[in-house]
Amino acid sequence: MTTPIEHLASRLSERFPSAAITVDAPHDSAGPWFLDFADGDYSLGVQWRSGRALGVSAGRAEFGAGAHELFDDVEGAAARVIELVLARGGTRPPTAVRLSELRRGRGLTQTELADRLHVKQAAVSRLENRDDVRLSSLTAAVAAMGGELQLRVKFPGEASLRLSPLGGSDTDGSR
Amino acid sequence: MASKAERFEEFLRRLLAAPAAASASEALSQIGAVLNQVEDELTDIPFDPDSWQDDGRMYPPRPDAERLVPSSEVLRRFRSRGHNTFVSRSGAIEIRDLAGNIVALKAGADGRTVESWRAE
Repeated sequence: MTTPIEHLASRLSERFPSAAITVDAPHDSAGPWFLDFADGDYSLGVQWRSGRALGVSAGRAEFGAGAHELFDDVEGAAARVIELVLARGGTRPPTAVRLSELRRGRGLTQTELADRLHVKQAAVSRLENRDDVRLSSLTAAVAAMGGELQLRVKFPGEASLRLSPLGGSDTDGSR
Repeated sequence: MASKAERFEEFLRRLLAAPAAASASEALSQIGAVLNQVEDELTDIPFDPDSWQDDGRMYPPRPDAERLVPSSEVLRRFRSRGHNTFVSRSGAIEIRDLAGNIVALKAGADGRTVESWRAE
């Protein structure tokens, strides 16, 4: 069966026949796959693994860094790669991540997340598009994805501090 | 918070200062332990090895990122977004960027480098 990243490679080969496009497959097919694209002096990369979004990154990659931009499907990733190649553009790591990007990064649809939260898909859609979100809703959504919401406070020149849950008691005995 | 370049330099400094590894699994463990220690000390970014999107932290190669190295039973290759990490059966470590430039080189406990195994 053709994986999404192999499908993407085929699409890009048709669109950019002179480009060098290689798919670096893992020994264990459940591991991370990489697509390396080079056209003259321009290059970019795409990564994918089963259950995860297609990650597009263009520009210098630091050691052990994750993907910059995530796409749910081949169509979205292909459109973005074509745009980047034509513009010889770069991507940037997200300075902040949206809730929808978090969800896609975990390989979940809105419906799947809604099922975990015992709400309707429309409620997840509203949550993801709201400007101001209740902390309890955000905590529940992140927990449903398998994560933990953490709040940190940073003052200039000081190390950041983890803020205890609002309204909760101190857990470290400090006052 | 130190920059990624500064943290990577510190990772390399500590990796090279550590005793040579004696096996591939020991070399991989050493890379992971040293990198995670540096990131824990020099960043405020929580450790999330399942993070698929760039969260600003550097992560060591995952075991399931292994690729076979053609015609070599001694070398193992682990791919990440911008690098290939090679380890040898005797614990040698070599990290190259995708252009092939060596960014880290450390011999194994037997004194041999990845390149010496590759030349066989």
